[in-house]
Amino acid sequence: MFDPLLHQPIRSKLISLLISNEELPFVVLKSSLEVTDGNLSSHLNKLESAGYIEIEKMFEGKRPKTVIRMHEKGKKAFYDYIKALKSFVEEN
Amino acid sequence: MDQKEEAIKQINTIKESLVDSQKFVPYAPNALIMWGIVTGILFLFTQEVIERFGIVSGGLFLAIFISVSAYMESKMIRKINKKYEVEALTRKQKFIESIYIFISIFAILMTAILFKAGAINLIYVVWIFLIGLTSYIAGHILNQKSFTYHGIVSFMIAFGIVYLIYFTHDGLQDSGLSYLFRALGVVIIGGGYIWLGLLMKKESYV
Repeated sequence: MFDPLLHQPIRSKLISLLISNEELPFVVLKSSLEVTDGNLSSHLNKLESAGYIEIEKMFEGKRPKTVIRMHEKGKKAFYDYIKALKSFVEEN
Repeated sequence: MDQKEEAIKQINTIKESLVDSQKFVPYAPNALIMWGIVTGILFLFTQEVIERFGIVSGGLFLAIFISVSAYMESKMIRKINKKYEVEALTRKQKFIESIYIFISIFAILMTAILFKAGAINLIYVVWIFLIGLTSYIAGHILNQKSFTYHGIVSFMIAFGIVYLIYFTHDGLQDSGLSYLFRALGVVIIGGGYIWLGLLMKKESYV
């Protein structure tokens, strides 16, 4: 009934953060969500596989940097998920 | 937990995240402490500098202090940004910085004009009000209530000073009032910024 990728507290928080900020570095998401590197990577990979987000790895000078961006598909899925949540609560 | 409770919980989680996500504006608490010290010095000594060396020197004194501090602040913020792998200043940071610049220029010009017009005590009204305005705006952008309250207290002090000037004989130039306003500036603005910086450090905001 609900999108299983988004119906999970950490992933829904993650998408909310990305919706508001367009793109965020990995370290910012990690500190905002208070999760480990491995845990965050696992959630990000699931969302990336579904085409909801894009993960870009790059180097700035000698420092590695990972930036996460929302895709249109992810935005649409998130809005549909909120609609589904609202209508479910109203109907029950 | 039944499905409805779970759905409500998810809606609340999303709402909280959407609100919290607006809070992410890296800022350097040390920059606030630095501004506290700088504004304290400016409140204490600017009038002396203008009276001894003239309006142009006074303007330069203000411009140099403010420019060097703004540069230092920018360096501190960039350092904090690096911690979060944000290389350039964010849009919100740039907006706050542009407000600082416009307000500083206006404050310097008003200081020169008011001194020339002999309305020395009004200089402190303008400074306290403008600095309060900066705190008020920054408070809303950074979602920091303590900044907003600092702005409101500064507004109240500025209005109080206007009242005192209006009802005091020779209020625009009275040296006793001038010392009082300087002391208020040091405590409310200088001390206020140092307090905000320490508070931010304590809350580990960055």
